[in-house]
Amino acid sequence: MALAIAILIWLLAITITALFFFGSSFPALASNFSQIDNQFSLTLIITGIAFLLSHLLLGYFILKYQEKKSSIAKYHLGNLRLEIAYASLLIVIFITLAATSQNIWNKIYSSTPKNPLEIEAVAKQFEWQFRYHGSDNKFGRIDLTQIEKDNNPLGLDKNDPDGNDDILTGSELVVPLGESIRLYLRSQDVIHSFFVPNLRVKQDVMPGMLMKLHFQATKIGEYEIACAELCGLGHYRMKAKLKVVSKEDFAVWLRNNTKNDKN
Amino acid sequence: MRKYLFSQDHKIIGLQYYLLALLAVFVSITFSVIMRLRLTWPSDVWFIMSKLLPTAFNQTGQMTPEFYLSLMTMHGTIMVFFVLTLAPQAAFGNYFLPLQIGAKEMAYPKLGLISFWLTFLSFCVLLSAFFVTGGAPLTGWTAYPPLSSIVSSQPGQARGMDLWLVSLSIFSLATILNSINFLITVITKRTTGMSLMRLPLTCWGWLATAMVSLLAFPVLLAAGLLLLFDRTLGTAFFLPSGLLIDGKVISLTDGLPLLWQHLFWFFGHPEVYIAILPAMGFVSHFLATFSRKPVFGYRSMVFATLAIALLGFLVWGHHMFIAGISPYLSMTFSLLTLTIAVPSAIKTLNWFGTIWGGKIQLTTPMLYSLGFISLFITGGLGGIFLGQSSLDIYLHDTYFVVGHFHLIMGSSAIFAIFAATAFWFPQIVGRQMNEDLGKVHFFITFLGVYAIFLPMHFLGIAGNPRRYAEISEFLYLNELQPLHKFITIAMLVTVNVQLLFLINLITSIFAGKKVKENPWKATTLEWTSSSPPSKDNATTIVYRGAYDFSLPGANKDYFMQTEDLPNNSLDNS
Repeated sequence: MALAIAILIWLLAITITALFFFGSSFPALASNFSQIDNQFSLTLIITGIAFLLSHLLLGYFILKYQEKKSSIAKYHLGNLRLEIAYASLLIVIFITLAATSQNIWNKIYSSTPKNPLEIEAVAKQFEWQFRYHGSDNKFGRIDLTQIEKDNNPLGLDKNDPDGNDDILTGSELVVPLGESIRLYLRSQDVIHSFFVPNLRVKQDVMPGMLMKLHFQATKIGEYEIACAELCGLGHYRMKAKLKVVSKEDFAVWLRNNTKNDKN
Repeated sequence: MRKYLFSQDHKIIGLQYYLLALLAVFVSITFSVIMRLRLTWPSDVWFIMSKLLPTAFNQTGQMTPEFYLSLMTMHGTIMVFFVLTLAPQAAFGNYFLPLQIGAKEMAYPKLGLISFWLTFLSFCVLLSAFFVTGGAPLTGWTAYPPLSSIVSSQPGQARGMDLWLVSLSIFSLATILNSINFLITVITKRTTGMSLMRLPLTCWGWLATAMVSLLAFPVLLAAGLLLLFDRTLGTAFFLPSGLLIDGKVISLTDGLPLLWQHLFWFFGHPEVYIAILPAMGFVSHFLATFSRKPVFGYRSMVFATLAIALLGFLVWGHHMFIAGISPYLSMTFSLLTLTIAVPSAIKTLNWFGTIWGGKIQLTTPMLYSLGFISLFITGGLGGIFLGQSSLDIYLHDTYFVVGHFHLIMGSSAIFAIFAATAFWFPQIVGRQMNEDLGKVHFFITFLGVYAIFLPMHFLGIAGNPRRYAEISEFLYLNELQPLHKFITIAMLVTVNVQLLFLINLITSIFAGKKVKENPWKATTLEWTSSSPPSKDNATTIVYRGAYDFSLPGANKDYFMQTEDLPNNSLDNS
């Protein structure tokens, strides 16, 4: 019995460790946030060792100290020194992890790139829509009462000239390779969360607040944008497309989409 | 009627709570089975089910995503409140706390009666949400506004959501009353000689949980009422202005949806410890008993319990790292979150210390306890990833989180409940549960929960968001479908194996092996009363600590707390 359990626990430990070390595959990275992947690997190594050692020990104890006729349990009330040493070791490990993690967090949240390309993402049940400010570098004012489903989906205020050259791209976000992007996120109704697995980017979009997000795309291609915060029955199909294109292609795309016709 | 239904006897109340939790877990697991079927085979027609529940299926016979989300909401709510809060604390606590501290009864027997029936009422109100127009709410157990505060935001957000809030308010009230009862009982009703440092660790678990509940549940009660006001009285505590919902612009004063998240998680995170602290107490207790050794580091176990209870109130922000709170705040919460891993890890060390050099008896309660250690470690290590705000950016709201909390808060707590059931069954019934059946159940369930919840971590790493009714809409998720299938099959097997436990539980009441008193040779006071215990508890005097196993030079390997042997009297304290 004890042998069976010990072997079960050992096999489980080895299998799980192997699975995590060889099976943890993120979607292909396409942004400047490679540090998140590195931090994950570091954490995986530390927790992996802890997991493997503790389970090997657990199995060993069960086997070694199984009840026998002759065996007598040790009378032992504990070892404060051991506990303090152990706690200190843990604190050192946790401080290391916390320091490296905070470093990354800082980089992500305190970066204020110069002259980023500003794009607005608008979330609503159940779609993402994107808006570029056009040649005047200004987003037009929004007036929710002016929303018309086909003609004016975001509710651009027709009296605000800043909005005349705004470019709406529906649910397609096009960004140039390597350029700093600043994304303004806002929600029309409930909470959504802007999630691009390949970019390692996720930001809740809280109604009533304007959220900000910076990133650089580092790989040309098409990626999927999902919603990561439960927003209703269509949550699972709230999606959009991210297109990373070369700077030249982006310039062409921007020119083609700029409104020439100003009524 | 008065003897069983409206009894003020803490033992009857404890059993009532246990039965309610058992009913709740059955309902809730059924929900999760239906959810997994929908998730794994979204386009299949479930012929019988669609006849039974016509409103939950569309014309083509497919289960609607809103019904999936309703089931998910109810699964979470029932598991967290009516299983994990009730079974370890209210059920076992009510039954065994007075017995273990040598009290004749709880401090306020009537309060116990009232809190059980309030809890029962709240369960009925919760389930009634399925039968009103629009059905049960679909916001998940976290009920984030504005989704939860606007009636027209989604189906199920009308009366169903109101009933959900009313139910949780009643539940909070009942839990507050119960916690007061627990606290006063431990403080005032301990028998002569039962100093705090002689309390079994189970009692420390119940005591700490009562303290946590007393501070956490009022916040849920208040938040729930505020949300109910938002929905019914036109207030706007959680509603920002300028929303466009269902084609209509809603302009109210500037409420804060984030405020709900703060209030909810200020309750919600301690709630995790409400589920796990008594479980930790059980396991410490059983490990000592079946290793025939005193608990390793009794004193530090007590301090770790209290430290977890305290720190549990300081980490709620880790549920909101990317919800729009200040990045500095996220930093603080991330550090505090890693801090709480220290007392938890000390407990783990002490569990290893307890079985080290012991004389391990592999009874079923011991197996469940060892399983608890394994699940607790695995689930806990997942927390090291999620506690780091930088990693949480990616892992937040993915299946990594689902796998993590099901392992640590769900499975390990449930394993402690299995252990407690098998351990105290002889005391309650006078018969033992079947050991062979118990062992088979342990092995399959242990492997089963790993097979279900471990792969979920990989789903999370691959970027699979949680709370999706199906994953077919996204190309990058398509390749994960086989893994989802594997999880569902593992789940169906594991769920069915739970019938073994149920059969064992029921048949052992009538046909279990009769046992003599104190069959496990345990040391604590509950075993001094007869099995099953008579209506009036025996009162005794306590002479020693709770874990006097294998005293050197003694002629037997355990001394009950009531045994007065001055020469051998070594106190744990």
